[in-house]
Amino acid sequence: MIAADAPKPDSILPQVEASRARADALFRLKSAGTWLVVIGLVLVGLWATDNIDTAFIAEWGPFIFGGAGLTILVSVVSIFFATILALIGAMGRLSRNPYLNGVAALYVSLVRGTPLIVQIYFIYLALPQVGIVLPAIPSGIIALSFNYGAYMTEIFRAGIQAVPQGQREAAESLGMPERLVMRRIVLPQALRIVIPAIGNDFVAMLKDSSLVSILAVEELLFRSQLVGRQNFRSLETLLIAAAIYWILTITFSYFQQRLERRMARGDR
Amino acid sequence: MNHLRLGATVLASMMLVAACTPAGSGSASPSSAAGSSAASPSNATADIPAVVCVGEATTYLDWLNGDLKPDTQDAITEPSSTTGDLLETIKQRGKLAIATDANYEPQSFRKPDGSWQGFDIDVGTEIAKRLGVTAEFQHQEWDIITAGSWSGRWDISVGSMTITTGRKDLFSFNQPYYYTPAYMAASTRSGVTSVDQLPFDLPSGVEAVTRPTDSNCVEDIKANRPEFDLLITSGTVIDAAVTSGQPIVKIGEPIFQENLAVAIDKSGPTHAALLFEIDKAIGEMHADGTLTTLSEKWFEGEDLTQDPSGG
Amino acid sequence: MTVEPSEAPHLGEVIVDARGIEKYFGRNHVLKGIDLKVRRRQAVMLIGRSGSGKTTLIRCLNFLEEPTMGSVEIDGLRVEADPLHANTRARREQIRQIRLRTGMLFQEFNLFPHMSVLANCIEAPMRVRGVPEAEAVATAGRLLEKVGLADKRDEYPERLSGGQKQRVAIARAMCMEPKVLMFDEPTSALDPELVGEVLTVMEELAHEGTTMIVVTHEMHFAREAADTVVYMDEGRIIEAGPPEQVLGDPEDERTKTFLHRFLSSFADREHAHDPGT
Repeated sequence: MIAADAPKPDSILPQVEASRARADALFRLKSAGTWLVVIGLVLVGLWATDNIDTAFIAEWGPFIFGGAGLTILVSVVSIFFATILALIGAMGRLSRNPYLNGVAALYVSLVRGTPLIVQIYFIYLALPQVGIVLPAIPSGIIALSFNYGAYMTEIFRAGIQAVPQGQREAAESLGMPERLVMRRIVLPQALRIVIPAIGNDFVAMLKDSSLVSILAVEELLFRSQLVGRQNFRSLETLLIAAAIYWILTITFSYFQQRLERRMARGDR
Repeated sequence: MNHLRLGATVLASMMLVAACTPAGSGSASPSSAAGSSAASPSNATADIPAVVCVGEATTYLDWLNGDLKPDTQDAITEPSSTTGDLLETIKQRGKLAIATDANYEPQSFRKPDGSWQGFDIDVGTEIAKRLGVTAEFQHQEWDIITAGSWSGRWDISVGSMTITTGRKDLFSFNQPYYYTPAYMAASTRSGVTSVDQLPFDLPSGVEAVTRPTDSNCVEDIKANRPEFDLLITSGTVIDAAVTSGQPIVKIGEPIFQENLAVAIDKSGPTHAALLFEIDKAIGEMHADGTLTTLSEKWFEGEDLTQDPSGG
Repeated sequence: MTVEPSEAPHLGEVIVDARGIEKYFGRNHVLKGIDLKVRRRQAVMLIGRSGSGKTTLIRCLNFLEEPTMGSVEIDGLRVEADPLHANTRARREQIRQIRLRTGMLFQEFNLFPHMSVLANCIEAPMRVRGVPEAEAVATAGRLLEKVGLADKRDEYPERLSGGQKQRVAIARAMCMEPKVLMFDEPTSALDPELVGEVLTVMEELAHEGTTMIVVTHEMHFAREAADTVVYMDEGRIIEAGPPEQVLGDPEDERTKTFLHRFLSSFADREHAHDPGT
């Protein structure tokens, strides 16, 4: 307002910023709107052609939703044990002991080279023939832990290797024995590197846990299939299951991304 | 530009909806093939695939493959001692673990609150009661139950298992607790209402396809999948499906009779005493009318507990 | 050649005695028979062009690099180079004993980023030497005070400047009470304006009689703080002696050329961070 005739270049900056923010908001609005429209159209279309029995969904929805608890439980417990297995596996893969290294490499190769569903069946149906009988839920958890542990072994190995060599050298120069260096210096830093990846795997695990439905574990997919078959309404029940999986993965992905951002900020 | 993109999205989603809508569903008229057959009902041979759908590991599959050997239970005698018998274990734990496939309405299915119901469930509950323990049901896929080697995960099957010569290698059977006829059903779209319309011999002229469980066959027909128009399963299952409005009809006479019994895994622990006690309980349930009452409750007033062979 | 300091009454007994150090990286001969003796309270500065082997030499002294031949004795413990059996348990323990007698400072500081400044300093004393926590904290506090960072003990490394990080690293190394401190180009990774604070601390340590071996390019600092300057070239010690002699009046042609080129190209920089004198 000092010199009204000559606008200063910075007087236009807030306007530029505001217009960009408006454009961004509009873009997001339109993008979200597209979601709603497409989903809405599919649902309305199914409903209008009399393919969806809403009363049936209302009646059975809660029963199917009740399986989500077991889906989450199985996933949480499995990711926990997978993390431990991955830690041990990664140490093995990085070990200079040829036997430990061999065992870890064999584990990773074997698990990554066979389908998860074969592993699940193997633990539930094949192990009893050699006298190891496990109930369905533990079988599923063991198979999922075992499977994810192998994939995460490679992630953990990369994470450990991503800790700068200088950290190890500094710790060793202080006279710390190898194990202490690993436990106190390398692993805590490697863990920070791999936590986002663990979150990613957890979201994947939520979906893969549906495979344990073949063991009659009453999780989401099992319940939806049970209800669908017995009432000849697989469309509704699979839609319900898909919707719940979707909501679960979106929710956990959101937290995972926030965590990732926080970890990224914490670095250096 | 933006409007154009939005328009395209809307169009695409409408096409998606259209694609999701089965051709002959809802109020739409049936497909032309079905229409013509329906116009001239009997005696004209139907133009349908020579394929019959059955559940995995069922006697219906055995029948189609020519392997079915219906059988009766072996003689059951009271053992001299119950020491170490599975019966003792069950009584100690106070629970009888019963496996059943919950995909068979009205024998075994679930309510929205998750609880179990059906004829097999009531029979299992009654057996447990007469043994002085409580029944605990668990769902297992039928092919897993019939494969044997239960590894002690459950004690008995009360799942309308047909006694066959082959299965007697794997299981100890009680006297049958009821008898159902196996029937064939056809899709309504095929227009088939009698076996005479089938342009092939049974079972030699057809190919069997299996689904994880019998009701999946009905679902495939309901979804208008083209692979088959025929299925074989228990008459009771067909009746229940027809009652619930599924697009199938029961055709022909019963194909064969099934003697349905409780089964115990032979590879498990000693169970002579358990077998005897359960057999005694079933005998009593036949005698005191319990089974007849349950049958009439679940099978639309029919009493299926009388041996049709008169034995 | 053997490096013996000029007769200096304030120096004590020999603490570091490296003999016949040879080092190959693959076929590349990097150290060609190095003998180096360092006495208690002596400050030795290693200078030379990059690639002359000075960094490799001090890394061989605490076995971060395994020498191909030769032996290292630190405070009475002698360890022979043994690249064929470098990984046996007994030998790893011997090397650890050598490292307990030395403190090492790196170009990149290598503070532990997941630990506070204080935790960085007490980690090794408590877990390796079994010092009780109270005592370790007291020692750390004293040494952080000495490097001028007592107020930063609860900060995490990410919040410190490069100069502050290196000073913490010095305090951390000294918490283990090493017989000799070894610095590998401690100011090379620092922004020019942060070099001074680190050199000031090092100079103070040198004047107090801390035994140290420093690989450095800071000639002015070397002149001020060194008892002995060692000039290396192509894996050999070319010349060694008091700073005024090696830096002021070198005998060897190569040393002369190096100093001439180095001083002319770095003259401005040298002036810019003259440690506060």
